[in-house]
Amino acid sequence: MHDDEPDPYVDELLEASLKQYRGEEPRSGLEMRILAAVRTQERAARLRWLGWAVAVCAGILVAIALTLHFARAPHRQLTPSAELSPKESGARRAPLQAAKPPAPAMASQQRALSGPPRPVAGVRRVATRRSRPEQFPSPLPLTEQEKLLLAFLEKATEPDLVAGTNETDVAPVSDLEISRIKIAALEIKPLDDSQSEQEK
Amino acid sequence: MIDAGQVILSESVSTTDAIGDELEATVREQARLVYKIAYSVLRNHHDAEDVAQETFLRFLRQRKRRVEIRDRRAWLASVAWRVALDRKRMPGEVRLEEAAQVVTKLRTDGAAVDEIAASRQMMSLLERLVSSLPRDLREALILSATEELTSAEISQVLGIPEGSVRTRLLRAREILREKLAALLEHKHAR
Repeated sequence: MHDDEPDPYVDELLEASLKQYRGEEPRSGLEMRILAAVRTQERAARLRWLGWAVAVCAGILVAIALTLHFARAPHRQLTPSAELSPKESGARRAPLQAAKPPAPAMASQQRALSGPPRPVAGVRRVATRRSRPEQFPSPLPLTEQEKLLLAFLEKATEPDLVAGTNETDVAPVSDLEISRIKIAALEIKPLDDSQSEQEK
Repeated sequence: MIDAGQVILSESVSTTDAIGDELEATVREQARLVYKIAYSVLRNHHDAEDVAQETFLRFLRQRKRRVEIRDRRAWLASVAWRVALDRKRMPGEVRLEEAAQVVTKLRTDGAAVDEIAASRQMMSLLERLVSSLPRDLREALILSATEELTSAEISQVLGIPEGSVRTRLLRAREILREKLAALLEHKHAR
């Protein structure tokens, strides 16, 4: 057969084969399968994204917590006196000194109320976390006896105070009369023979 | 009459958001086109369905990114075409001589043309002949063979002028006819 005379059978066969070549129709339920698969994959992708988001948030929170922790740490190590400048320390120590007289009494009262004293490190930590008081420990209100004592001390002069004390207790040492000590002569008596024999 | 698949579909994948509704409508309208394009490339049901799922997943993600898709049908056809080409494996080796021999025997036995065309040997022979075509001719012929796309849509998918599509289709058919005739005449002459 020549090339310029196409075989009608070949043309017919080619057309029929190309129609077959386009393929079969999709199986039933194609849309349902596609939608189910797409939604499953999308949900999985969303969960994956959510997991990453949670992890990132947790990381950020940990970083913030660590930053705050290390930012506070240097303040804890400093003592109040070290933080104050000489000028400030002088100004702040004045009220402390003025309030010194009642301090021992109050300290004994606090000790009686709260039991054994806490370690110094714990006191420092509390002091840095709360607002710093001008006087430490914080003064309690004076009792009636302490008020009377203070009023007496303000009015009384030094001679009065000396006169108020018992003179016999504070008599000068030089005025004391010490009687002479009499030392008797040492006598050694001889041993009695009868007694020594009875003991044997 | 309502198909059972449609009932299950409407019950199982009821969507609440607009994107979900849009996806469902698009799948209903274009699933067949996407599948047939994938099948024309891969020649396998399972692979074609996988490509169809991948295509619609890309469509969903594209819509979420609010990217404007002017021609949805052409966009889906292009994506399905590219995904299918990426997945395409090398076709199995088909012995042209043996396939042509079987076809010639069917012809001499008096089998009808449609019967011969539907035979597995003829399909293997045609697949081998199509895969031997130059790439530009082969792509145009495969897309045309789906009978789902117009010349204008094929030109959009391939990114070539519409006139070039027609020219390539004519040239591809011409080459196929020549090769098929040569094979059958060779066997017939024996």
